Amino acid sequence: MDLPQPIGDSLPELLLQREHLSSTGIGNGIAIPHCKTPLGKQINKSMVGTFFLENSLDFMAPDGLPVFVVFVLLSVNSFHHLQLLSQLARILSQSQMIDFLNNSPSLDNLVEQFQKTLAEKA
Amino acid sequence: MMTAALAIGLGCGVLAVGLNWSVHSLRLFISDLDLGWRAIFFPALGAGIAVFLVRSLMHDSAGHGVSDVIKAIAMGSEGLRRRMIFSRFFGSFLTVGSGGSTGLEGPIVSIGAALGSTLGRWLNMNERHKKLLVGYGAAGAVAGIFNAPLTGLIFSLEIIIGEWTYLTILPTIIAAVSATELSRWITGNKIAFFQEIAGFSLTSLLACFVLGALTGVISILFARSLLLWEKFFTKVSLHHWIRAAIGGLFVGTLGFFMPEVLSEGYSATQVFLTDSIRPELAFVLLFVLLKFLACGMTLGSGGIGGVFAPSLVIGSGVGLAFGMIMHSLPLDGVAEDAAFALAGMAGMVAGVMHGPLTGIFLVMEVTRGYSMILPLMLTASSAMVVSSFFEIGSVYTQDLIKQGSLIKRGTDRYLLHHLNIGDILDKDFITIREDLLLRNFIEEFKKARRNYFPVLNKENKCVGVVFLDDIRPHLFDRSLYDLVTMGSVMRNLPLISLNEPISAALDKFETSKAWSLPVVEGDQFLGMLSKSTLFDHYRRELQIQSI
Repeated sequence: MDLPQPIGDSLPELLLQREHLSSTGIGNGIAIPHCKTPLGKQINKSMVGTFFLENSLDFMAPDGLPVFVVFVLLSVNSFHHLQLLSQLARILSQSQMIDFLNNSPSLDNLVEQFQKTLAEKA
Repeated sequence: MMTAALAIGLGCGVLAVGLNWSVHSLRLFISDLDLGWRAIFFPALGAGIAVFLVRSLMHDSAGHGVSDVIKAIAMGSEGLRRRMIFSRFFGSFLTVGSGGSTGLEGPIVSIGAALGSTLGRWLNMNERHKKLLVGYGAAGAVAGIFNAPLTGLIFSLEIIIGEWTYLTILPTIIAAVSATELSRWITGNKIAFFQEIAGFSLTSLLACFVLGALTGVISILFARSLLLWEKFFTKVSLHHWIRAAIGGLFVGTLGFFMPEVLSEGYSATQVFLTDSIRPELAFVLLFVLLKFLACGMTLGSGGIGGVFAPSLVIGSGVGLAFGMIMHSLPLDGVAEDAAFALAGMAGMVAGVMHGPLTGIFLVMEVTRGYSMILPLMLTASSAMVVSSFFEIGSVYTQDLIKQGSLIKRGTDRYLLHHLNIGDILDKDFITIREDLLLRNFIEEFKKARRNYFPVLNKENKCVGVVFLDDIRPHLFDRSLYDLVTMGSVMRNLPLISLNEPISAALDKFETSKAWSLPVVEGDQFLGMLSKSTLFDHYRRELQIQSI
């Protein structure tokens, strides 16, 4: 993710703080880490970064499965935060999307699949 | 409110009589010492000790009294602390009792107002009621010290509260009457300047217009001279009490040559109103000039007192001199000198305080004569016209106008200043923690009566507000139950301080576009101020003030 320097340095700590409250793992090996509060003017726009992990991690997810892909959500305000989080949680709960992610798709394929799913929902 | 007004009236009656008696006892004690030229040091000693006591030991501002009360009515009664009752009592006792050329009415008005404000705080009243109690205190104080209930009522409504509604009139009457009755019970029903005026010819009535214009001009000069003396003494870079002592020394020196200018000066007025003793015109004019200087030096150097008594005394001198000049002219049917002296008193009060009704009723009550009503009305009204043509405010309000602290009745600011944030806080809401998950919030939401939830951190500091409208679309999205914390969906809003003026709070509503904002005192979260509650109280206040 292309982030301004100050927030880039403190981001791991901010994500860990939120993780200490409760797990952001949503099951099926997927987690959506985010900060406790929106970042406001520390970032230019709301964004989601997708990271496929070389080694799966225990995120203490509700289903107990280790996490292999994380969608790091950074939002500028609470409105964006809720919108993005809601859309991600809904898309990532679909079985075909989980199967798709299990194949470690390329960035282009991932974007295409998301756009397709969102269009179907719309 | 009626019971509170009665209590305040009785308290003011006791304090007014006590202050008057203490000052006259001290004056008597000093004159009995018969110290000759050494008596010039007494006003310096009294003013120095008074200012040291008030400013350094009691940490009071030691203003002219009535200005502080008018400011408190405009900006908030918190400015009238309990310690003012003691500081103004002892401050004016020492200043006036030692010979300082000023009056007791200003300090006693402050004392009465502080008494009202203290009682309001003690009874945990809202700001509007506290301000009314301040007005009752002022009415009781004036009524008690002059033995003039009607003047107390008029002074409070015309100069202090500026509001004539049934909510203000009836309790103010109770305060004024109870203070007067108590004062009469203790000291007897004394009439300060009893006068029987035979009648006023048309010539004399027309002359009252001229006298009114003259007292109007003199009142402007008097008010400006006070400001000049204040500026002069401010430039003296010495301790407050030393400045007051220097002013007192000047006054003591003037008093050595003309003792009538010392203290309140009512003895001179008494002489001016007595037909059997008629001083020379030159003496009267010299008295007016020296009283002018002595009062300016006393108050300008920081002495504790008011301008009510000096206005009356100077007015009586100006009126008497005017009457004497009238009698020297080839005119028929000119009224007696004392009548002009009384009219001059009303004119000076009207011009200095911008309170013509106070001037008219005061002179009428202290002389117990209705026969003077026409000349008093003409003199007071023409003095007021002249004074208000050249001065935008009275001697009490000029500084407040310059500071932008005087709020005119009938304006939005006036209405808003009767509302206090602490009195209209919403407290029937549920606070939530910033780490509360959406799943757990659902349970809190079921119990809520409001559509907003202040968010507190671990230190109980308000860090934001969650609005139901923001999260309503996602409220039943189970996939978010364990993902969304309240801290991530709250809005960061500007905080309102408890003591902030409502106009500043309204600005914050405007810039944040929010309908409710958190109110704090320091770091402590107190509640929410909602725009709808604020407007509801505003509308109610508007109804009250329109009655």
